[in-house]
Amino acid sequence: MKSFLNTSLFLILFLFLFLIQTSFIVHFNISNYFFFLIVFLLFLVVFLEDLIKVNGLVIAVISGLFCDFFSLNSMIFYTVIFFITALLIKVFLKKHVYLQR
Amino acid sequence: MKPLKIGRPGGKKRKVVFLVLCLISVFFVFNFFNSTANSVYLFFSPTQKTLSDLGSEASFLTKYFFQKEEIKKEIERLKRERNELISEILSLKERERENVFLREALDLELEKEFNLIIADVSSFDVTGGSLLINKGSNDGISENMTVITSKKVLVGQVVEVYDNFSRVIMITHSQSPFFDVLIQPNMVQGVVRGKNGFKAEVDLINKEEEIEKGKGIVTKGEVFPKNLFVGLVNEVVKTDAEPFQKASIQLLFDPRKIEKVFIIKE
Repeated sequence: MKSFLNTSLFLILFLFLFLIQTSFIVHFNISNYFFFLIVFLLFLVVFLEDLIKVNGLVIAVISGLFCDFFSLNSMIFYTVIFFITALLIKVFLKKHVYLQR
Repeated sequence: MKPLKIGRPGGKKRKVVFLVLCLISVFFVFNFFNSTANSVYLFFSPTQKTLSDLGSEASFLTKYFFQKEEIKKEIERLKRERNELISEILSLKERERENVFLREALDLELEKEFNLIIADVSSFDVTGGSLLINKGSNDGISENMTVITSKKVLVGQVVEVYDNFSRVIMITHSQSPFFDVLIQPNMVQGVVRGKNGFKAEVDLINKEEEIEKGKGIVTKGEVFPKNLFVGLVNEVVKTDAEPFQKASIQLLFDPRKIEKVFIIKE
């Protein structure tokens, strides 16, 4: 239940971040490169999903959908990329990373 | 201490399958129902517009720091462009003025009556009694040619001709040649002479003749072509001591503001 609540809150947060990303941050490009805030935070959330009690894969998919809505790529382009990335990170973490309390 | 393992062990297979199914469903939903995307755009567009405006304004700061040189070059380019545009606007305004001037002349059908050359007034002399025009012998100008405005008003006569410029003595100059005129409506004869200070008068008017203020004065056609407007009768001076009466002339052009003139070639 807590995971569901946290995930929902993070999704709302991501929605706002996405709006900021697509309308505010795009103006701050330097030589046509700009900071992809969503990806950065997505990585962070997936890395720390156990600590912050969220479902990283769900957040990755929904964030991907947000991006797909406002991009010229085919409908599930970002969704698939984010999902696979999150999945790979989780697999990597599962196999190789351990944190000590 | 117990190590914490990041990532949940096992039991994910169903979730992954579920998510993949969700993705496929979404793909079909959005490919077949574009109106959904439209609704999303509609819902978020006000927020995005506001944020975008804000970002656009705020981004100037980052651009200033990271693209200082580019901005400087851009500013220089824009300044150059602005100057070019100003120059173009001035040129167009000049052409507009010229068009108005020519249209006035066309309305009076001056081109049918005379062989004309249009010229710009370049400068005045210190007393304002003569003016320099930008047409000279290269343009077919020669001495003693008559200079008029677009409204067929007599300005003066060409007295000096250079290759590309000519000097015109205005009828108000004291050294301007005297010339015969007729005062309307009775066609009373008189002679015009310049008085300097942008003034001229009609002299040698027969005392017997009645002339009224505001009546038109036209050339008689000896020194200058016939029927050119000279001005209006301003003030009539008739004294017993003088054998003739005089009348000051109200000019029909402003000698200080004249910009373009026509030179009558023949």
